[in-house]
Amino acid sequence: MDRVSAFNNPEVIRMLQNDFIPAAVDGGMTRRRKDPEGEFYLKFAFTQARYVAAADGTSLAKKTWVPSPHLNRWMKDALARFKKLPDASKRPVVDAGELAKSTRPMAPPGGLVLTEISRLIKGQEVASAANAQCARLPAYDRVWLTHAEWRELLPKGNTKSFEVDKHLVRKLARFHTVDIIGTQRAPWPESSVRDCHLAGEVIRSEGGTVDVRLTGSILIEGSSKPAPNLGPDDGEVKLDLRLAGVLRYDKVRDEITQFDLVAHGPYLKGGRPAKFGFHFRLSGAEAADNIPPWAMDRHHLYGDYPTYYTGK
Amino acid sequence: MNALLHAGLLITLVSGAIAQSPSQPPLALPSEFVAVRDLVAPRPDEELWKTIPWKTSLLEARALAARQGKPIFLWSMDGHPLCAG
Repeated sequence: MDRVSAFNNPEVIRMLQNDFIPAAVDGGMTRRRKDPEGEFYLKFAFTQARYVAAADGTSLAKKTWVPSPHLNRWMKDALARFKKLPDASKRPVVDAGELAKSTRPMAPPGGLVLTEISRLIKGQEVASAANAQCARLPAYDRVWLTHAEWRELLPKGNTKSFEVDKHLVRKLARFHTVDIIGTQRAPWPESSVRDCHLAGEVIRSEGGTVDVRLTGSILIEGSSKPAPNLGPDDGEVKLDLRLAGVLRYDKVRDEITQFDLVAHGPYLKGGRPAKFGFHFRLSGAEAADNIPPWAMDRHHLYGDYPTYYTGK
Repeated sequence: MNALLHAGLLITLVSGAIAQSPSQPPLALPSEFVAVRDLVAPRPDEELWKTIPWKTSLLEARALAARQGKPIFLWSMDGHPLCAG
Protein backbone atom coordinates (compact mmCIF):
# COMPACT_ATOMS: atom_id res chain seq x y z
CA MET A 1 0.00 0.00 0.00
CA ASP A 2 1.56 3.28 -0.99
CA ARG A 3 1.23 6.61 0.77
CA VAL A 4 -0.19 8.42 -2.23
CA SER A 5 -3.23 6.25 -2.94
CA ALA A 6 -3.81 5.47 0.73
CA PHE A 7 -4.20 9.10 1.73
CA ASN A 8 -5.62 10.94 -1.25
CA ASN A 9 -9.18 11.22 0.04
CA PRO A 10 -9.83 14.78 1.31
CA GLU A 11 -12.26 13.56 3.97
CA VAL A 12 -9.71 11.05 5.28
CA ILE A 13 -7.06 13.77 5.43
CA ARG A 14 -9.46 16.15 7.20
CA MET A 15 -10.40 13.51 9.79
CA LEU A 16 -6.76 12.67 10.42
CA GLN A 17 -5.97 16.35 10.85
CA ASN A 18 -8.87 17.06 13.21
CA ASP A 19 -10.44 13.98 14.80
CA PHE A 20 -7.51 11.58 15.31
CA ILE A 21 -3.91 11.64 16.43
CA PRO A 22 -2.20 10.05 13.43
CA ALA A 23 0.91 7.97 14.06
CA ALA A 24 3.10 6.01 11.67
CA VAL A 25 5.64 3.47 12.91
CA ASP A 26 7.75 0.59 11.73
CA GLY A 27 5.77 -2.13 13.48
CA GLY A 28 8.45 -4.75 12.94
CA MET A 29 10.90 -2.68 14.95
CA THR A 30 8.48 -1.19 17.47
CA ARG A 31 6.99 -4.46 18.64
CA ARG A 32 10.49 -5.82 19.40
CA ARG A 33 11.46 -2.90 21.59
CA LYS A 34 11.55 -3.68 25.27
CA ASP A 35 10.49 -0.20 26.24
CA PRO A 36 7.22 1.67 26.95
CA GLU A 37 6.68 2.26 23.21
CA GLY A 38 6.96 -1.45 22.41
CA GLU A 39 4.70 -2.33 25.33
CA PHE A 40 2.05 0.19 24.30
CA TYR A 41 2.18 -0.98 20.69
CA LEU A 42 1.51 -4.58 21.73
CA LYS A 43 -1.61 -3.55 23.68
CA PHE A 44 -3.55 -3.21 20.44
CA ALA A 45 -1.28 -3.89 17.48
CA PHE A 46 0.88 -6.70 16.23
CA THR A 47 1.38 -6.78 12.49
CA GLN A 48 1.29 -4.38 9.56
CA ALA A 49 -2.16 -2.87 9.46
CA ARG A 50 -4.11 0.20 10.31
CA TYR A 51 -5.40 0.48 13.85
CA VAL A 52 -7.51 2.83 15.90
CA ALA A 53 -7.04 2.78 19.65
CA ALA A 54 -7.68 4.92 22.69
CA ALA A 55 -4.79 6.38 24.67
CA ASP A 56 -5.20 3.66 27.33
CA GLY A 57 -4.63 1.01 24.65
CA THR A 58 -8.27 -0.01 24.13
CA SER A 59 -8.51 -1.39 20.61
CA LEU A 60 -11.25 0.15 18.47
CA ALA A 61 -10.51 -1.06 14.95
CA LYS A 62 -7.96 -3.05 13.00
CA LYS A 63 -7.72 -3.64 9.29
CA THR A 64 -4.84 -5.04 7.33
CA TRP A 65 -6.31 -3.70 4.12
CA VAL A 66 -8.90 -1.00 3.70
CA PRO A 67 -9.51 0.11 0.13
CA SER A 68 -8.91 3.84 0.03
CA PRO A 69 -12.50 4.83 -0.88
CA HIS A 70 -13.78 3.01 2.24
CA LEU A 71 -11.20 4.27 4.70
CA ASN A 72 -13.33 7.24 5.77
CA ARG A 73 -16.30 4.99 6.65
CA TRP A 74 -14.04 2.65 8.61
CA MET A 75 -12.61 5.63 10.50
CA LYS A 76 -16.06 7.04 11.28
CA ASP A 77 -17.14 3.70 12.78
CA ALA A 78 -14.04 3.65 14.96
CA LEU A 79 -14.65 7.25 16.03
CA ALA A 80 -18.22 6.36 17.06
CA ARG A 81 -16.89 3.49 19.21
CA PHE A 82 -14.33 5.81 20.76
CA LYS A 83 -17.01 8.30 21.78
CA LYS A 84 -18.78 5.61 23.83
CA LEU A 85 -15.68 4.89 25.92
CA PRO A 86 -15.41 6.18 29.50
CA ASP A 87 -13.25 9.23 30.10
CA ALA A 88 -10.66 7.06 31.84
CA SER A 89 -9.98 5.39 28.49
CA LYS A 90 -10.19 8.52 26.39
CA ARG A 91 -8.06 10.70 28.66
CA PRO A 92 -5.93 8.38 30.81
CA VAL A 93 -3.14 9.70 32.98
CA VAL A 94 0.03 9.08 30.99
CA ASP A 95 3.41 8.72 32.66
CA ALA A 96 5.33 11.81 31.55
CA GLY A 97 8.61 9.95 32.01
CA GLU A 98 7.76 7.36 29.36
CA LEU A 99 9.36 9.23 26.50
CA ALA A 100 12.72 9.32 28.24
CA LYS A 101 12.68 5.53 28.46
CA SER A 102 12.26 5.07 24.72
CA THR A 103 15.01 3.14 22.96
CA ARG A 104 14.32 4.67 19.56
CA PRO A 105 17.56 5.46 17.72
CA MET A 106 18.40 9.15 17.83
CA ALA A 107 20.38 11.17 15.32
CA PRO A 108 23.94 11.71 16.53
CA PRO A 109 24.43 14.94 18.52
CA GLY A 110 26.12 17.54 16.34
CA GLY A 111 25.55 15.30 13.37
CA LEU A 112 24.14 15.98 9.95
CA VAL A 113 20.76 14.63 8.88
CA LEU A 114 20.01 14.49 5.18
CA THR A 115 16.79 13.62 3.43
CA GLU A 116 17.22 11.32 0.46
CA ILE A 117 14.65 11.14 -2.31
CA SER A 118 15.02 8.62 -5.11
CA ARG A 119 12.97 7.78 -8.16
CA LEU A 120 13.16 5.60 -11.25
CA ILE A 121 13.36 8.17 -14.02
CA LYS A 122 13.05 5.62 -16.82
CA GLY A 123 12.27 1.91 -17.01
CA GLN A 124 9.82 1.85 -14.10
CA GLU A 125 8.92 -1.76 -14.91
CA VAL A 126 12.04 -2.86 -13.01
CA ALA A 127 10.42 -1.72 -9.76
CA SER A 128 9.46 -4.33 -7.22
CA ALA A 129 6.59 -6.46 -8.46
CA ALA A 130 5.50 -6.74 -4.83
CA ASN A 131 4.24 -3.18 -4.92
CA ALA A 132 4.02 -2.26 -8.59
CA GLN A 133 1.75 0.75 -8.01
CA CYS A 134 4.74 2.48 -6.42
CA ALA A 135 6.92 2.15 -9.52
CA ARG A 136 6.52 5.77 -10.55
CA LEU A 137 6.57 7.21 -7.05
CA PRO A 138 9.52 8.66 -5.16
CA ALA A 139 11.06 6.82 -2.23
CA TYR A 140 12.34 8.51 0.92
CA ASP A 141 15.15 7.79 3.32
CA ARG A 142 17.46 9.67 5.63
CA VAL A 143 21.23 9.81 5.99
CA TRP A 144 22.72 10.21 9.45
CA LEU A 145 26.29 11.42 9.64
CA THR A 146 28.25 11.99 12.82
CA HIS A 147 30.03 15.30 13.34
CA ALA A 148 33.34 13.62 12.48
CA GLU A 149 31.84 12.15 9.30
CA TRP A 150 30.35 15.31 7.86
CA ARG A 151 33.55 17.23 8.61
CA GLU A 152 35.11 14.93 5.99
CA LEU A 153 33.04 16.80 3.40
CA LEU A 154 35.15 19.91 4.08
CA PRO A 155 38.71 20.78 3.04
CA LYS A 156 41.53 20.45 5.52
CA GLY A 157 43.40 23.71 6.09
CA ASN A 158 43.83 25.81 2.95
CA THR A 159 43.46 22.91 0.52
CA LYS A 160 41.46 23.80 -2.59
CA SER A 161 40.88 20.29 -3.91
CA PHE A 162 40.44 17.15 -1.85
CA GLU A 163 39.08 13.62 -1.86
CA VAL A 164 36.22 12.90 0.54
CA ASP A 165 36.96 10.10 3.00
CA LYS A 166 36.44 6.70 1.33
CA HIS A 167 34.50 5.27 4.27
CA LEU A 168 31.96 8.05 4.08
CA VAL A 169 31.49 7.69 0.31
CA ARG A 170 31.19 3.94 0.70
CA LYS A 171 28.50 4.44 3.33
CA LEU A 172 26.53 6.61 0.89
CA ALA A 173 27.04 4.05 -1.89
CA ARG A 174 26.15 0.96 0.07
CA PHE A 175 23.27 2.24 2.17
CA HIS A 176 21.87 5.16 0.20
CA THR A 177 21.84 4.24 -3.48
CA VAL A 178 19.68 1.20 -2.80
CA ASP A 179 16.61 0.45 -4.93
CA ILE A 180 13.80 0.90 -2.42
CA ILE A 181 11.16 1.73 -5.02
CA GLY A 182 8.07 -0.24 -4.07
CA THR A 183 9.91 -2.29 -1.52
CA GLN A 184 12.33 -2.05 1.37
CA ARG A 185 15.47 -4.02 0.77
CA ALA A 186 18.77 -4.67 2.44
CA PRO A 187 21.82 -2.52 1.70
CA TRP A 188 23.93 -3.52 -1.29
CA PRO A 189 26.36 -6.29 -0.34
CA GLU A 190 29.83 -5.01 0.46
CA SER A 191 31.26 -6.89 -2.54
CA SER A 192 28.84 -5.21 -4.96
CA VAL A 193 30.24 -1.73 -4.27
CA ARG A 194 32.86 -1.88 -7.05
CA ASP A 195 33.92 1.73 -7.05
CA CYS A 196 33.04 4.98 -5.32
CA HIS A 197 34.70 8.32 -4.94
CA LEU A 198 33.75 11.89 -4.21
CA ALA A 199 36.00 14.90 -4.71
CA GLY A 200 35.58 18.37 -3.28
CA GLU A 201 36.71 21.69 -4.68
CA VAL A 202 36.54 24.97 -2.78
CA ILE A 203 34.87 27.48 -5.06
CA ARG A 204 34.69 30.32 -2.54
CA SER A 205 35.97 30.93 0.98
CA GLU A 206 35.32 34.30 2.54
CA GLY A 207 33.20 36.05 5.12
CA GLY A 208 32.99 33.05 7.40
CA THR A 209 31.60 30.68 4.80
CA VAL A 210 33.15 28.02 2.61
CA ASP A 211 31.45 26.93 -0.60
CA VAL A 212 32.38 23.52 -1.97
CA ARG A 213 31.55 21.79 -5.23
CA LEU A 214 31.34 17.98 -5.13
CA THR A 215 31.81 15.59 -8.04
CA GLY A 216 32.10 11.83 -8.05
CA SER A 217 30.87 8.45 -9.15
CA ILE A 218 29.53 5.21 -7.71
CA LEU A 219 29.46 1.81 -9.37
CA ILE A 220 27.35 -0.98 -7.90
CA GLU A 221 27.71 -4.24 -9.77
CA GLY A 222 26.93 -7.79 -8.76
CA SER A 223 24.41 -9.44 -6.51
CA SER A 224 21.73 -7.19 -5.06
CA LYS A 225 21.58 -9.38 -1.99
CA PRO A 226 23.80 -12.08 -0.49
CA ALA A 227 22.54 -15.61 -1.15
CA PRO A 228 20.64 -17.56 0.12
CA ASN A 229 17.11 -16.21 0.67
CA LEU A 230 16.93 -14.55 -2.73
CA GLY A 231 13.46 -13.32 -3.62
CA PRO A 232 11.87 -12.49 -6.97
CA ASP A 233 13.26 -8.95 -6.75
CA ASP A 234 16.81 -10.09 -6.10
CA GLY A 235 19.51 -10.89 -8.58
CA GLU A 236 22.28 -9.22 -10.53
CA VAL A 237 22.27 -5.44 -10.72
CA LYS A 238 24.44 -2.72 -12.19
CA LEU A 239 24.05 0.89 -11.12
CA ASP A 240 26.46 3.39 -12.63
CA LEU A 241 26.00 6.79 -11.00
CA ARG A 242 27.56 10.17 -11.60
CA LEU A 243 27.40 12.61 -8.71
CA ALA A 244 27.43 16.39 -8.52
CA GLY A 245 26.70 18.56 -5.55
CA VAL A 246 27.28 21.76 -3.66
CA LEU A 247 27.57 22.59 0.01
CA ARG A 248 27.96 25.74 2.04
CA TYR A 249 29.71 25.61 5.42
CA ASP A 250 29.27 28.31 8.05
CA LYS A 251 32.52 28.44 10.03
CA VAL A 252 31.10 30.47 12.90
CA ARG A 253 28.16 28.17 13.54
CA ASP A 254 30.16 25.10 12.55
CA GLU A 255 27.33 23.82 10.43
CA ILE A 256 26.45 23.06 6.86
CA THR A 257 23.73 25.49 5.80
CA GLN A 258 23.18 24.16 2.28
CA PHE A 259 23.69 20.66 0.95
CA ASP A 260 22.52 19.41 -2.40
CA LEU A 261 23.91 16.27 -3.93
CA VAL A 262 22.37 14.66 -7.00
CA ALA A 263 23.27 11.25 -8.40
CA HIS A 264 21.94 9.68 -11.55
CA GLY A 265 22.77 7.03 -14.07
CA PRO A 266 21.76 3.81 -15.80
CA TYR A 267 20.42 0.95 -13.72
CA LEU A 268 20.33 -2.63 -14.95
CA LYS A 269 18.24 -5.04 -12.93
CA GLY A 270 17.62 -8.60 -14.04
CA GLY A 271 18.84 -7.60 -17.50
CA ARG A 272 16.24 -4.84 -17.83
CA PRO A 273 17.41 -1.24 -18.26
CA ALA A 274 16.23 1.72 -16.25
CA LYS A 275 17.55 5.04 -15.03
CA PHE A 276 17.81 6.04 -11.39
CA GLY A 277 17.97 9.47 -9.79
CA PHE A 278 18.77 10.46 -6.20
CA HIS A 279 18.69 13.81 -4.41
CA PHE A 280 20.21 14.39 -0.98
CA ARG A 281 19.40 17.62 0.87
CA LEU A 282 19.35 18.96 4.42
CA SER A 283 16.47 17.56 6.46
CA GLY A 284 13.92 19.95 7.84
CA ALA A 285 11.16 19.74 10.39
CA GLU A 286 8.85 17.27 8.69
CA ALA A 287 7.69 14.19 10.59
CA ALA A 288 9.54 11.88 8.22
CA ASP A 289 12.78 13.75 8.81
CA ASN A 290 13.36 12.20 12.25
CA ILE A 291 12.94 8.58 11.19
CA PRO A 292 16.22 6.66 11.43
CA PRO A 293 17.87 5.60 8.19
CA TRP A 294 16.20 2.52 6.82
CA ALA A 295 19.39 0.49 6.91
CA MET A 296 20.02 1.31 10.56
CA ASP A 297 16.63 0.63 12.03
CA ARG A 298 15.95 -2.52 10.08
CA HIS A 299 19.27 -4.13 9.32
CA HIS A 300 21.51 -2.93 12.15
CA LEU A 301 24.22 -2.66 9.56
CA TYR A 302 24.74 1.07 9.32
CA GLY A 303 28.50 0.91 9.29
CA ASP A 304 30.07 0.98 12.71
CA TYR A 305 27.27 2.81 14.38
CA PRO A 306 25.84 0.72 17.22
CA THR A 307 26.31 3.74 19.48
CA TYR A 308 23.58 5.54 17.56
CA TYR A 309 21.20 3.37 19.51
CA THR A 310 20.48 4.93 22.83
CA GLY A 311 21.53 1.64 24.36
CA LYS A 312 18.86 1.65 27.05
CA MET B 1 -6.83 49.38 18.17
CA ASN B 2 -3.60 51.34 18.62
CA ALA B 3 -1.93 48.24 20.02
CA LEU B 4 -3.00 46.26 16.95
CA LEU B 5 -1.65 48.94 14.64
CA HIS B 6 1.63 49.03 16.53
CA ALA B 7 1.89 45.25 16.38
CA GLY B 8 1.19 45.31 12.64
CA LEU B 9 3.82 48.01 12.12
CA LEU B 10 6.36 46.05 14.14
CA ILE B 11 5.71 42.90 12.09
CA THR B 12 6.09 44.90 8.87
CA LEU B 13 9.38 46.44 10.05
CA VAL B 14 10.78 43.09 11.24
CA SER B 15 9.75 41.37 8.00
CA GLY B 16 11.39 44.14 6.03
CA ALA B 17 14.57 43.83 8.05
CA ILE B 18 14.69 40.08 7.44
CA ALA B 19 13.98 40.51 3.75
CA GLN B 20 16.70 43.14 3.42
CA SER B 21 19.35 41.31 5.45
CA PRO B 22 22.34 40.46 3.29
CA SER B 23 22.37 36.81 2.35
CA GLN B 24 24.27 34.84 -0.21
CA PRO B 25 22.32 33.29 -3.04
CA PRO B 26 22.06 29.50 -2.82
CA LEU B 27 24.73 27.53 -4.61
CA ALA B 28 23.60 26.13 -7.94
CA LEU B 29 24.01 22.62 -9.28
CA PRO B 30 25.13 21.99 -12.86
CA SER B 31 22.10 22.26 -15.17
CA GLU B 32 22.10 18.55 -16.05
CA PHE B 33 21.82 17.69 -12.37
CA VAL B 34 19.18 20.35 -11.74
CA ALA B 35 17.05 18.59 -14.34
CA VAL B 36 17.48 15.25 -12.55
CA ARG B 37 16.75 16.80 -9.16
CA ASP B 38 13.52 18.23 -10.55
CA LEU B 39 12.52 14.88 -12.07
CA VAL B 40 13.16 13.13 -8.76
CA ALA B 41 11.34 15.74 -6.66
CA PRO B 42 7.89 14.69 -5.43
CA ARG B 43 4.97 16.46 -7.10
CA PRO B 44 2.39 18.15 -4.83
CA ASP B 45 -0.19 15.44 -5.56
CA GLU B 46 2.34 12.83 -4.43
CA GLU B 47 2.75 14.45 -1.04
CA LEU B 48 -0.79 14.92 0.23
CA TRP B 49 0.14 12.48 3.01
CA LYS B 50 2.55 15.13 4.30
CA THR B 51 -0.40 17.40 5.12
CA ILE B 52 -1.30 14.88 7.84
CA PRO B 53 0.45 15.69 11.15
CA TRP B 54 1.99 12.23 11.57
CA LYS B 55 3.69 11.39 14.85
CA THR B 56 6.57 9.00 14.40
CA SER B 57 6.70 8.27 18.13
CA LEU B 58 3.79 6.22 19.40
CA LEU B 59 4.41 7.57 22.90
CA GLU B 60 4.12 11.15 21.70
CA ALA B 61 0.91 10.21 19.90
CA ARG B 62 -0.40 8.59 23.07
CA ALA B 63 0.38 11.64 25.23
CA LEU B 64 -1.30 13.93 22.72
CA ALA B 65 -4.32 11.65 22.37
CA ALA B 66 -4.79 11.59 26.16
CA ARG B 67 -4.44 15.35 26.39
CA GLN B 68 -6.83 16.11 23.52
CA GLY B 69 -9.28 13.26 24.13
CA LYS B 70 -8.88 11.85 20.62
CA PRO B 71 -8.27 8.32 19.36
CA ILE B 72 -4.95 7.25 17.87
CA PHE B 73 -4.90 6.27 14.21
CA LEU B 74 -1.88 4.00 13.84
CA TRP B 75 -0.38 3.11 10.50
CA SER B 76 1.99 0.24 11.11
CA MET B 77 4.08 -1.44 8.46
CA ASP B 78 7.04 -3.78 8.46
CA GLY B 79 9.37 -1.02 7.41
CA HIS B 80 8.47 2.57 8.13
CA PRO B 81 5.34 3.72 6.26
CA LEU B 82 6.82 7.17 5.71
CA CYS B 83 10.02 5.69 4.30
CA ALA B 84 10.99 3.80 1.17
CA GLY B 85 8.66 3.36 -1.80
